[in-house]
Amino acid sequence: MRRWRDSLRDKRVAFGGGVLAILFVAAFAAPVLAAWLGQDPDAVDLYHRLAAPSLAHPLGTDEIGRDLLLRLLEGGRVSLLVGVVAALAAAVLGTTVGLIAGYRGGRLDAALMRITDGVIALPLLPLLVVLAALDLKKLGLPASLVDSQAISIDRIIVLVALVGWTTVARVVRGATLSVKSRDFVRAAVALGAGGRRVMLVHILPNLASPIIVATTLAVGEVILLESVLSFLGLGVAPPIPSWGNMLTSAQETIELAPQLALYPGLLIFITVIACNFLGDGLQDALDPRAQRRIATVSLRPLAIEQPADD
Amino acid sequence: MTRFVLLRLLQVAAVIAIMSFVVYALIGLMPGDPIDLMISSNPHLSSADAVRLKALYGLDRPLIERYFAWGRAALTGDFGYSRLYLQPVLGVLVPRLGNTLLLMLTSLTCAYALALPLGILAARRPGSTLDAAVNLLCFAGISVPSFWLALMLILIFAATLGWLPAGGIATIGDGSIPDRLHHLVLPVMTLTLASMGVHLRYIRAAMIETLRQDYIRTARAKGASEFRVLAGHALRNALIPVVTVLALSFGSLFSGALITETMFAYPGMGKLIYDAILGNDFNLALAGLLLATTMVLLGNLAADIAYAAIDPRIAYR
Repeated sequence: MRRWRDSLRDKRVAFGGGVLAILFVAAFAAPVLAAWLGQDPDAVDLYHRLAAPSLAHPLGTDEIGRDLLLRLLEGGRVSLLVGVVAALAAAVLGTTVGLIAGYRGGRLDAALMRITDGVIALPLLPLLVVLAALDLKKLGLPASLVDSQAISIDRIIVLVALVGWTTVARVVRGATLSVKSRDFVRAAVALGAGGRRVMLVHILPNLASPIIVATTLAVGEVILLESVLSFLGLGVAPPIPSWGNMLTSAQETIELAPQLALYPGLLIFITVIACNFLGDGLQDALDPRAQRRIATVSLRPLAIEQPADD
Repeated sequence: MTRFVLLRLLQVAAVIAIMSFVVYALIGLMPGDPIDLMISSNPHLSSADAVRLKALYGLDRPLIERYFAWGRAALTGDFGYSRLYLQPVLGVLVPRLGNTLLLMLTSLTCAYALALPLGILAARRPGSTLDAAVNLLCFAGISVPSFWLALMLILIFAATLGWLPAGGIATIGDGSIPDRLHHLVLPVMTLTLASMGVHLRYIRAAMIETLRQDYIRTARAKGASEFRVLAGHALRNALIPVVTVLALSFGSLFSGALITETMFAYPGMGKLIYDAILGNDFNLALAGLLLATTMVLLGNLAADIAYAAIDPRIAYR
């Protein structure tokens, strides 16, 4: 607990955490604000398109007269929700892969890490575009689900989680390798604990810090991916707002109303940079001995062996 | 060394083969059916014609059989016909590949030309104002959504100032080199700024680590000039982790190129693949994806080989 309190003294943690807290509160308080302003974020008002800021519309209105501030907050709720849920899913997937690879070692480790490196090295965006364009009905999902409005959110969460797990897997594997040779783990094995029990009860709790750090960083990564896919029309589908898809329509009116293009992107930028500051600061505070992230990425190229005395 | 390269080339070929099957299967799951598309564009076709067309193109056969037929043709260089461009797929892809390589390599060069001096200067005095500024730049580069960065650059340099063209590759009727370079500025700027953060971060961190080593103190003590210490002794050792990051970054560089090309209507591979997927041009999308993956994996391999040049301790087996 001390370390957690100390971490707040780190400027990066205070800034990142503070900014994220404000964004979360604002985004999830949007309905309250909407009621207070007497506005409906989905209400179209074609007589007041692209209006300048006023008391009724603090940031003005968008291209079909909806209140920009409320849309930004609603969009933020969707983007933050997708970011957190997908990052958690990615963390579970990555932790599983990393834990098994690190603990079992040998060929399984080599195979799993080779897959992880392979995924990191691939050009992921075009592959995600293919996956996002798939016809879910041809995959055998029921039509009622596929045609529902929320499907675009579920799909984007699955997609970005599928590519977002690699960092967590690498970090968890590295941490598992260092924990597994410690005495308490050997004692548990000597007492006859099975592999699953050792991994879940004895090793996993000791990986909390690196997992939290990697997940925080993954939230930022995932929000960036969601925004670009939504921007390309393959992520969160209108009329549900997200910061990414708000930029799609803003692109067309950029000369008329540059503020529509400015704000959503700025919010993505601020959110992601806050996640990165928070993750980076937490890493130093919680895991001071861990070599910086440079160590987790400095994998050797496949099939290259360094001499043992290195 | 030769054996290592051959082995890695085999691995690349294996990855491409697996990828081609996965993508082939996935593309069959995309909305739209090639025969339906043909019928909808020609009112004279009846449903009996549709069945005959299906048989003609082999679409009534199982997936595995169709894949092998495609693979056999692909190995002879025949990737089929593009529906959107009404040309053989390879004829569409090759000129686009050149454009994308130009964009990616120019941006990567610019990114390193900026990141190397900045990272080294920052690492000389960790905690200084310059270091803090460079660190902020790293975070900004990693965190900025590149499509939004492109929008803002278009807004500033094209829409407001009018200095640079907002998109395209050349003014129509003007194919001169200065004109092409003029069109390249904003896309390169976007991709450079969006991809520089990661490299800068690792250069800075690796240099800080290296400059703490004893051999640096030795080099200084024997009176080596500051330039020689930095460039000769420190940089070479610092480059080892940096090259690892470089090797892994080609995939995301291509993803960045896709976004940049789409934003600036730049006729490259990324935009081509995106358009092909959305336009139901299956042959083109498949071949484009595989070509992009091959390019990325070969870039990866080239960076791996560069290791040996930097670190003679590494033995290739």
